[in-house]
Amino acid sequence: MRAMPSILVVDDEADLLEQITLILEADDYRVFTASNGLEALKILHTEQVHLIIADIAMPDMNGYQLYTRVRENLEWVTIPFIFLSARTMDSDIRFGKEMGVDDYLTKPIRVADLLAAVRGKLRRSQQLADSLTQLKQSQGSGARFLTAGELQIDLDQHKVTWQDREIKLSAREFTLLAYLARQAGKVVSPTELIQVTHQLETDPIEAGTLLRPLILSVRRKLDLAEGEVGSIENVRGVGYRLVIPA
Amino acid sequence: MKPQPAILVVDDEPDMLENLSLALQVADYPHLTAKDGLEALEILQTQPIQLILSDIVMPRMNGYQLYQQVRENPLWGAIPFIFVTGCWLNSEICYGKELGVDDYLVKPVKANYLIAVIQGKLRRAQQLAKAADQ
Repeated sequence: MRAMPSILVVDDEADLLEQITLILEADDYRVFTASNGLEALKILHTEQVHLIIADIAMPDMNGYQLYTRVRENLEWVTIPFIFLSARTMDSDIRFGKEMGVDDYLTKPIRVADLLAAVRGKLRRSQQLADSLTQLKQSQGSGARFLTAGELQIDLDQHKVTWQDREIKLSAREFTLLAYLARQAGKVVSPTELIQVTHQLETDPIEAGTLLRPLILSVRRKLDLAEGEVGSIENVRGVGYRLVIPA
Repeated sequence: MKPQPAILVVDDEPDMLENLSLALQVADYPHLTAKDGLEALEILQTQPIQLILSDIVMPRMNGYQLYQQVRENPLWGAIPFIFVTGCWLNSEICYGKELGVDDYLVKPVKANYLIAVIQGKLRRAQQLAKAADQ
């Protein structure tokens, strides 16, 4: 988690802004406040904001309008956005959620509920950023293929080819190869691999035992020479890696 | 032909699975069902999934465990995950939300509310995917 994330709170009720600020600051967040959507946009242009909590009914620019503006801007689109509103009718909540808002909280808000939503959305935001980083690293500029030499892995079609020859892999074998290819060249531990292929959290010995037949099977199907680009190499005592061009 | 991404519904109560399936069918969402977390993971390994609706209390692998497994796999990191559960205590809701789940719905859930939430989460997932492509 980032050090001291900053939260933008938008509400036209001064008392409520003060209360929310106190709650968030006590939980170690940096807080910016705005009394309507227009003020909020100004802050977004100048400050780094990790999460937005906004009322809906506000003068000048309401919460729906602010939400739309935030989502239209690519720089802000990943910022989690929570409505905190006195509009508690089913239809209001449904409308807000249908827009795609990350959460919809109703006033009066309990401290525990507010903090749970804030912590959860910041955690999710970090998870998404981590996943994206990993996928981007592996996919380069948005390509849908992973490659290592002549080895090509089509993630969408679950298809592996070597020099245009298709190699039939089981779902688990494909998961293993794709995971190694995403981090091609890097050694991945058996415990990490087994979490991905078998969804098991286990010790290194059991992980190694479970993994070996799978590795052997993929190697047999790939039929590559030891150390050849695209082959799976065992780094004794550490794990496995997909060999990349030197 | 590449299969269309589906919504994965995970619940150990057959009646609940049927009700949720019906709501999704009426709204024209392709969907698959699993009766616990382990079955859900098997489906995730082989089928493209665009959103997960999961109960919490289930045998073999519960909803919290399933959520954790899904989030640990970068391939599944962007899939919206929603708890649909009978766990209604405030502490349970707070716990679920703090995990980072995309939404937390308490049973019984009205069909129109469920569909609104799904639409919103899919819209949000598209926005994030678009941003990731930039």
